[in-house]
Amino acid sequence: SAPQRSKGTHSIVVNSCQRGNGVLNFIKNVPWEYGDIIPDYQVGMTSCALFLSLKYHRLHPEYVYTRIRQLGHHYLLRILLCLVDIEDHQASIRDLTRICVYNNITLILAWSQEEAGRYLETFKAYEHKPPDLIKERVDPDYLSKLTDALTQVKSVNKTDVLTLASAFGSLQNIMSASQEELAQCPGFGEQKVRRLYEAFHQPFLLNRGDRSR
Amino acid sequence: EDLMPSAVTPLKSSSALAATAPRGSEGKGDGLLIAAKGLGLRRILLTFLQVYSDPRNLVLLLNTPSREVDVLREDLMAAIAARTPLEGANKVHPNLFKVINNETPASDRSDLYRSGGVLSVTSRILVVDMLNKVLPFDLVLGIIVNHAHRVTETSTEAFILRLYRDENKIGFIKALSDEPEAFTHGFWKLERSMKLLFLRHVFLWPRFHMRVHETLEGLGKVHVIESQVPYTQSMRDIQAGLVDCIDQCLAELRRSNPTIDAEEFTVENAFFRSFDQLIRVQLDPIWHRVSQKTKQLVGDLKILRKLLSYLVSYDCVTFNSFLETIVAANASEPSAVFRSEASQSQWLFLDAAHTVLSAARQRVYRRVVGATGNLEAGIPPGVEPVLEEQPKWRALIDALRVIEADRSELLGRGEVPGPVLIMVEGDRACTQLREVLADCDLTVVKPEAEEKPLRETFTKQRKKGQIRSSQKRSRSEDAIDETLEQEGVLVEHTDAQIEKEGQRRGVSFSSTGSEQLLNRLIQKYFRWKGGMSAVTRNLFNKSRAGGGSKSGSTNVSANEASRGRGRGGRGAPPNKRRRVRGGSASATPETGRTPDIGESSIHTTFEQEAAQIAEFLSQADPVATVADDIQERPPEDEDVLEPEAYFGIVDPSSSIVIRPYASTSTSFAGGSAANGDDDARVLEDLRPSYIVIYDPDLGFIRRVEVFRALNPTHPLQVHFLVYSNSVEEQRFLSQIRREKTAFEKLIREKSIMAIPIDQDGRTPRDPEEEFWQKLDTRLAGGQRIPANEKNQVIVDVREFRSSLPSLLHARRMTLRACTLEVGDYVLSPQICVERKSISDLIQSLKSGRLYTQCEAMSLHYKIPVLLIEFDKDKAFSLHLDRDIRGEIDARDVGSRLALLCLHFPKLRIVWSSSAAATAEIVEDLKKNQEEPSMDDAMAVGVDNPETIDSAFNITPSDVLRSLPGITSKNYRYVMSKVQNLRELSEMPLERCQQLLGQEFGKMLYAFFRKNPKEEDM
Repeated sequence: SAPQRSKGTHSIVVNSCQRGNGVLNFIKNVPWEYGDIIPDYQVGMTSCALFLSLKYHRLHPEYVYTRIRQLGHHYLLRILLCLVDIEDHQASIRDLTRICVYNNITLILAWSQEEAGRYLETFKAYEHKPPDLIKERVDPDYLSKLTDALTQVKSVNKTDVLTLASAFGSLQNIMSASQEELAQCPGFGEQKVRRLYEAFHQPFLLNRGDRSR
Repeated sequence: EDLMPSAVTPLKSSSALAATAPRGSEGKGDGLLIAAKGLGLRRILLTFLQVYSDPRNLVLLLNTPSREVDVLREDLMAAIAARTPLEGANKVHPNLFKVINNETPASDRSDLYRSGGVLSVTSRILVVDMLNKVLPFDLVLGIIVNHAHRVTETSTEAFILRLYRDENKIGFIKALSDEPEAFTHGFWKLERSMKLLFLRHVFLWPRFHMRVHETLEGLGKVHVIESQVPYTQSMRDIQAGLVDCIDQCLAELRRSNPTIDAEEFTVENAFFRSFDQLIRVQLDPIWHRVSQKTKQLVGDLKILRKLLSYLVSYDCVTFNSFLETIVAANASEPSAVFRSEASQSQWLFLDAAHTVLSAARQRVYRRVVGATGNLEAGIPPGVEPVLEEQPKWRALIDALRVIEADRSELLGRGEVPGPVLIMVEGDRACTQLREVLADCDLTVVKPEAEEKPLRETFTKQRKKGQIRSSQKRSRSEDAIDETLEQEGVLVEHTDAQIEKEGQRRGVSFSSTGSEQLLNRLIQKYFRWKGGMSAVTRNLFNKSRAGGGSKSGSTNVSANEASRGRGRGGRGAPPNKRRRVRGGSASATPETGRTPDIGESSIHTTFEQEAAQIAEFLSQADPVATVADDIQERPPEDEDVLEPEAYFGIVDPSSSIVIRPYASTSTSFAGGSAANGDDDARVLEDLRPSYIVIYDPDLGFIRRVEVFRALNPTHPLQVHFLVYSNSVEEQRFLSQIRREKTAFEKLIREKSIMAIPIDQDGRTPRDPEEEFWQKLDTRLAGGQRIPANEKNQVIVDVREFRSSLPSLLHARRMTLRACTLEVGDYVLSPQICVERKSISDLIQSLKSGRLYTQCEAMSLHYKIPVLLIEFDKDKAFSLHLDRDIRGEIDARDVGSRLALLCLHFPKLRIVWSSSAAATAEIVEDLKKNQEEPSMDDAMAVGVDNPETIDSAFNITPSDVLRSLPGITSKNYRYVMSKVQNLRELSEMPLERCQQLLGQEFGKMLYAFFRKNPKEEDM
């Protein structure tokens, strides 16, 4: 629903009001160009960003409201990229959080111009990237799966997983081991043994007694 | 009247009196008691419990692990029974010490609270019951907080106390701790703790307190015979090597983190557990930004420190196999789980590490040309067992001989001495020592003293026909005779003596038990090593083939090459020479696999060796599984293993009892969660005349002192074994020093502490606030008009591990606790919040869990919120500037976060610099919103409504959810149908498939049974 579609299929479109913003110096991995747009940055066909420095916001608290009003309901992903450049930030951030939640805006904080630039780059660069990177992996190899399962228990690490696998073989054997057997494994102190054993033998449900009545 | 023995009388006068003081008096029975380790805190607690065991009172006991509770209850019942004998024959003492824990059904809890007495309750349950008003606040006479040092700003106990003080201004709060050091970490920890505990008075009882000193030493000191046991040469080498590694790791840590203050990062400090804290205190503010290498170094230091203590506590075989597992685990790096953190423990490449590894192995076996091996004993060819004993084993036997001599003398005079108690650290050492001593004959010189009771302990073993021939023991006994003459003086085992012994034997053991033990261990070791070879081959090769292409292994090899060792590398197995020499013709690794370029040289050594051994064993004993190994303890151990054996079945006066310190054992009322007071109980029950302190333990020495002071006429001889010039010795000495320093600091702090008069929370601070609070309550109207509940927030029960619920409550929001499937907090029918700390955020972005969570939230709520909560003590920022150079890195948190936003444009992100800031924001977000409904929130994301009403154990369910075939859709169903993980793992295929469907059922079934030790899984 962005009005300016002609420009910026491969580059970030920058509102000319951003001229002189130091953030522009750090947009290096993605091309950018000035264009006539409502938001400050158009980082994708359906994504845009407004830029706000907290220092500026403290002096001109009405500015961000004006910009948001202008933005209306355009764009799907609407980012408020906020540069945290003051020490006493809590009140401002609290304020902005409220505004963002009620205006369908995603708040992103950056602590330096480099970081802000990097976010803009990333939004553009990842515009069409599938979410595989942040999705749960399907079907990894056996060791990863085993490690993943056993390290859910606090204080168990990958060395311990290997110790268990080589001492007992299958996961079934590991789960049916007694405390004494587990304690025989090198590196297994009393606490680790107890935690593992409890994890395997504690009932899943707390109030099972309740329901069996 | 005999409740409080003289040793703890001074403690009684302050705190027990305070406890029994009538309500309304000055102290009101409140107080924090910090005593030195081992001074008998359990007795004080018991006295309190006894006082309050009355159905008219309800006293809550917090922070007490279940095993500690069991013992407390037993002692309490015994004490009550002793005080008030029953009149009628059928009368039973009412149970006045009850427990509410995970297994207590919710429906019973209300009745339990109302029935009075002392009630030990799990914090996580109590807080929910308090919020849901199941607990009758007005009935609570007081709360006793055990292990008070564990109460922190964010702990549930602190929240509980606040809820309690809100509703009940009269009841007492008593807090107990015997960890003075814990109160000195950080700034004004004591003052902050007092505030959390709503207390204004602290009672300090250090060991050096005049009255403690007088009570314990007034009747004469305990007679201690200290034996300095020297390390063997190889142990010295290993210790020096490890210290060297620590040193270099520290240097590296300092180099790569120039910003941190490295003054306290010394080798000496690195010996202690608190060193981890020391490092974390400095690195925590920037922990999410420190390099992977630094994290690795911190982890390495932890392992190195562990190794130092295992050198003392593990036998040579176990120590060596632990080392080998570390090496093998490091080689596993390319596997998928750790792919992104491509780092190996660099210390393994140090020269010193090489020394450690080879010295550790040479304690176990030597490579000898032409050694034929022993198929029966499971020793491969080319290997000659060395099996170096722990020097303390011999020292222990010597000590026991001294004791035996003393006993014979006493018995000769017609006196009956008590039993011998040997205290060791950990169950493993305990079991092993039992075996070492099993066949040991402790007779000193005169065999005609045959009828004497000590040997009765060993009759069982001797019946097996292993009566010692007298010439076999002559040598050591000569030594004994010498030591006997200088009894009471330091017993020195000279280096020369030990080394001479080492040479004299091919293999000479201090006892047949020790010989048996070590032989069994080495057999098991070689079998394990064979299995290990299969495991590593099966697991790592597969994952390497799978996706290890971009692993960090090249980086490692470069590192290796740059060191110019010439040990690693293509086509030239590093220890080729050794392998050729040692290996038989058949020992060529059958896989024919050539080492990868980047593989660590050390690992290659092990892998090849392991392959040879596997080959050998496949000829010898193909079906041995380790589960068997573990069970194949010598049968005569069995009766000794039974705890009853300590306490009754064996005539106590004639026995030797070996016992692990309670805090290091899985059995008894022990575990690190307990404070070890169970050891004191053993002293009282067993009443030993001789005690051998095999591993030094400060708390236990105090307990012996207390025991001695309580039984001034009881003969007592204490032997204290310590490795000279060892980490063990240093650690022990500095433990004493640190406790003393801690108390001095606390005393100073106490003297200048400024405590506001209303800190006890008994006086309402602001009448107006109080008024509004009351008004709110009335409007809420309890459960009769739930529609009117104001300002409600629905909180997932596991969130009570964080401090946010407590802060929300402080802002007068009404919390409703339940188990949520989607989100952590529900603020309104539209707003659902998933809270992530920085480490959680990074972790869950990596694992993909956050994506799934956002998916679920977006599906069920109009406004899904991701709350990123920083720690108030840590930096409020995600990046370091130097991280943002060069190209966009997909592994970066920021990149992943951006990707998340792109895929969930509806997702709102809340950035909060602290939990307190979050509480403000939550308050904002709730304005002008409808109140959420608990029933609706609980039903969200749950397919089967039958399973809604059930809280579950967190760790088992987390493990369950990470298993293949288990999804967020079916895991609740599984939990409702299966008791626990063990049961699930043993279910036949058909049941699995019934539960999960054809495909998933098969997947899960196969996963449980996959054995990486078998070829071609």
